[in-house]
Formats: sequence, structure tokens, C-alpha cells
Amino acid sequence: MRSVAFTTSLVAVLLLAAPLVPAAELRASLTDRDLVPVSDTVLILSPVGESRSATIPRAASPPVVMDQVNMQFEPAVLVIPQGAKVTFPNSDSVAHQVYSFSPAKRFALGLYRGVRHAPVDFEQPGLVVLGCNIHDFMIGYIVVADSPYFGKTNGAGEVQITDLPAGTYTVKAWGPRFKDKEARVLQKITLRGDDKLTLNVKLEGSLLPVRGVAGKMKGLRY
Amino acid sequence: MLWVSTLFTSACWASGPHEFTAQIDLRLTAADSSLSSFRSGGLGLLRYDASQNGAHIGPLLLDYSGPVTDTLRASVTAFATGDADKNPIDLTEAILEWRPVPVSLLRWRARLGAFYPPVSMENRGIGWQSLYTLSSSAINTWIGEEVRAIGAELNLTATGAGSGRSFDIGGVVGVYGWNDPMGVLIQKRGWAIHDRQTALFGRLPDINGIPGADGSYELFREIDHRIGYYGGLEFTYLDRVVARALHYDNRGDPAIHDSQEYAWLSRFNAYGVRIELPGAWTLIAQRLDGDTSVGVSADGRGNHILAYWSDFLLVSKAFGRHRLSARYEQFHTTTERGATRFDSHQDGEALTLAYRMDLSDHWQMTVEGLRVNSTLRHRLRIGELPNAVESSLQLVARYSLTL
Repeated sequence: MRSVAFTTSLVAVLLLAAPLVPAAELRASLTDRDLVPVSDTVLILSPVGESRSATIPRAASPPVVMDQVNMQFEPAVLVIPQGAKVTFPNSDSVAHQVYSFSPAKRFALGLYRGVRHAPVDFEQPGLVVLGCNIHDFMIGYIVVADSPYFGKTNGAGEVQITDLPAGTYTVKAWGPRFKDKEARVLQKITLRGDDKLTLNVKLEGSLLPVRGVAGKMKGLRY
Repeated sequence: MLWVSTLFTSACWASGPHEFTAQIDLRLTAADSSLSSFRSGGLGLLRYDASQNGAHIGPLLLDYSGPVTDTLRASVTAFATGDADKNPIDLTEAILEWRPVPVSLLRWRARLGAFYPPVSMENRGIGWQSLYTLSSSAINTWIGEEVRAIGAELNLTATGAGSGRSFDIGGVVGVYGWNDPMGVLIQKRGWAIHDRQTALFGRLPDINGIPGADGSYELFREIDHRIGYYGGLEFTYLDRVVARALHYDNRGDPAIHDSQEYAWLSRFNAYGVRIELPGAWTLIAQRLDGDTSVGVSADGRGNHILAYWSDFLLVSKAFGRHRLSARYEQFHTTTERGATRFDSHQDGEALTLAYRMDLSDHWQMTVEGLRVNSTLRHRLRIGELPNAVESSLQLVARYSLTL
């Protein structure tokens, strides 16, 4: 297990005005060690202790979409709750063959274009690395969260997770630039009522460069 | 009713796993060269010489790729070059590929058929066309002209993405036959720069410098009944760097010949790297060096030995639908044995500038300027000066449709 240090600064702001249904909210921003925002990184808040039993992960009813556009998975990183279904439409003019051999989900979709396959169930939490057996450079990620409370950082490295019941949570993060396959545990937080928490996380240690710099290549075969 | 069913069928076809691609070029070419193209038996290095300045329809590319079973995939590529080759349309590749779905970090692949060994870093498009320029580099032009593995290839790669590693490492081994005349073009004419691939059953005129002279070559033939091989390594870092090294040896017996041609013993080492940088910049560098020999000799190496090398650097940048590419290359051949009988010593350099624009999903436009400055001693035999500066400008509107 590699050692990962991280620093967080925590600013909790209690608001006086209470909403009808008290629910807490977390805003987080992630940067690398040089304070450059880190995008496409998943943040998961897993309830711990007594609050865990009260929050059984709920599956999203309509399937979530992991598209294939310009020979790239779109989105490059998808976060879903445990038990959710995902469809893999292919919007390219060429056929793809999507597969994963990650322990959290092993599957393969026969060569196809358009929408040909039934949605895939993701029952186990963890990281699912997607590939295309025709285009080896296509890599995508599905993070199956063990909690319904999650989000993904935007281009500015920011994420907002709302409707959080009061309780104690483990804050975990994972992104495709991490060198570990496992999510990093950042810290524990305790939320009461309608707390609004801001978390600034500086990821120590080096990160991998971003994939996808080559961009769209018309007519690419090899 | 017929058109309804046709429409329905084509709609099903277009969304199925079978891909059929047709591509046709409309070209305007303007060459400035005193030499005839090798296509008509001359010692010029361009595909279209000055006598062909004007408009051309073609070449036409037809390509099919699709599954045979869940893990077997067939692909066939054919070109109609429109330049009076033996067959009006002919195959350049025909491959049955085994692609088992990876179940671990080890990824197996196998190919059976007629295909290119993994040398080129630029010919990544459908039909083994360059994504960056119209004309391939001297190295890859030669691969397209004289090299084809007709046999089997096995590839094993340890992938990194599934394990959190940032790199893949792979090895490839190929065995093949039917590549015995390989070497004859580079010996007689030297390196060239264009985008014409020799078809599997195609025929090239004898490169003796006399346009229209009799004689021709069929390059993909078995003469000595010896199996050739290649072996290579590939390293990939994320989707940013691909580096390759490959050793190729057709194990030809230069003492053996049939009614048409000798077997040539051709060996080379090829190295290549492609780097993708932020800002849609691409850098490609390749080097190839080797030798080829032919004829009977006491040491078995042949009575004529030609050594050759070439390298190039390509820089490309994409701006949305636009792409600008520049390539500089050098090439060289030396007759190491038998120069008194035939000395084809060649030295040269070339600069290629290309602008590409995707006009729509189906139309692409390319403007390419090419300037080749070369010396070929063999040109003296036809009364030409050894040194020649050849340049060409091509404007290509390319239509492609994938069903």
C-alpha cells in the first residue's frame, strides 16, 4: 500500500435558516500537489457506524449511459450506485467490443454498433476498468459506489454532494490519474442537520497524466 | 416494396457489426520533375509525374471488416489504383484475426493472412493510409511497396490500465512466405515517397529507367520455399507514447531463382516512436536500416548486396477539424557488393507539408506539397543526371462512406 499523505482544510458553516427537510451538503475541491485542479475524480461518502444501516444503497431506476463517441468512452469516468444498470450505446460509425475483467465486474459485449445489448448490472462496489477489444487505446472507468452519496469533480476540480442525512461518513476519492486501483480514504466527517461543509483536498504524491490528449482521429483503425 | 426492403436492409447493415467502407479520391496533381514515375518504369520517386499533371479520379478503396465469430474477425482491403495494374482492383491486405476478449492483464492476438508487419507509426487509417499526410514517408512507402507478411503473427501484451499501471509492454512474432522478390525495388530505384501500395496480385513494371520497357515484377511470390520471420517489442505509455522495435528477415536464399526472379535475402531493423502531446500535437520518428542481397556467391550472401537506411521526423497539430503536418526525412542506399555491374547508390532528403480538413462526416480535403532532392547513380544509365529535384502539389477531395 503506497503512502499517500493529504492535507485538508475544513470549513464548516452552519446556516441559521433551516430547510423543510434538514439535509446536509458537501462541497469539495480537489487539487494536485501543485494546486492544479484535478477533474474527473469521484468522491464517495460512505456512512459509518449507526448511520450505515439507515442508508441502503439505492439503485437508479433508469439505466445510466456510458456512450462511445469518437473512439472514446463518454463519460471517461462514470460513477454509479451499487446495483445500478448501465447501457453501452455505440455512437461511432465503427463497431466496438466493450469488456472488463475487473474483479468488481467481468463482462463482454459482442461486437456492435448502436444499441444492441441489454443494460449491464453492477452489483459489486469497486472500480471497473473498461476496454474495447478492437481499439486498444479506448479506456473507460466505472466506479461502483457502496453508497448513494457521491459525485465527480468538474473541470475546475469541484464537486457538490447534496441531500446528505446527518451522520458520520468516510470520504473516499478515486480518479483515473490515481496510481492505485483502490479509492483513497481522505478522512471522516460528521454532519448534522443542514450543515454545509467545504472540503479542500490537496492530493499529495504524483498523479498520472490525463488520457485522451490525442483527441478525435477521423478514420483511425490502428 | 423493393426500395423499402432495400432501405431496411441497409439500415440493419449500417448498425450491425459488419463494416463496409468505400472511399474515392478526386485528385488534382501538379508535379515538377524531369523524371518519369517508377509506375511507368522511370527512375522518378513520385507516384504521379509531370506527364500526369491534371485531374485524376481515384484511387478507389473498398474495405470490409466484421466478425466471423465472437473472437474471430475478418478484414479485407482492396484498392483500384487506376494506373493499369494487372488487375483493375486488387487486394492489399486480407486478414483473419483472433481477438479473444481479455480476461486478465495478458492480452493475446493472432493474425492469419496477408498483412503489414507492425512497422509504420503513421499508416494508422483504414486501408493502411496515413492519418497525417497523403504520401507516406520513404520508410513506409517502401513497406507498402515491397513488404507484406503472408503468414501468421502472434502478439502478447501485458496491459497496464487494469492494474493501475500507466504502460503496456508487448511482443510480436510473425512467420511468413511469399515475400521473396522483396528488395528489387529499393535496389533498382531506391527509396520513393508516395501513397501507392502494391497489391497482393499486382505487378510493377521493370524499373530499368526506360518507360514502357518490357518486364515486370510480382512482389509477393514464394521462390526459395524458406519461411521468413520478424520479431518485435512495443511499449505504450497511456495514450501518449508508443515505441516499437522490430527485426525483419525474409530468410531468402539469394542463389535460388525461378523463371521470373531471384529470391532476395532482405533484412532490416525498424524503430519508431509516436508521442502525443497536450494541445493535439503529435510527433512521430522512425528509422529503418537493413540490407538486401541477390545472386550466387561463395559465401551465400549473394553477388550483389545493397545496404540502406532512412529516417524521418513528423510533426503534426490538429485544430478541431483541421490538421497541419510537416515531415522531414533522409534516405540512403549503398551498393556494398557488385557495384561494378549495377550501382544504384542513392542519397536524398524530402520535405512534406500537408493540410487536412474534415469537411463533413464523409468528405475530407488534403493539400500536400512534397519536395524530394535525390541522387541516384543508376540514372546515368538512361542519360539523366544523377541528381534530381522533384516536387509535387496535390489537392485531394476524398469521399468515404462506411455502412
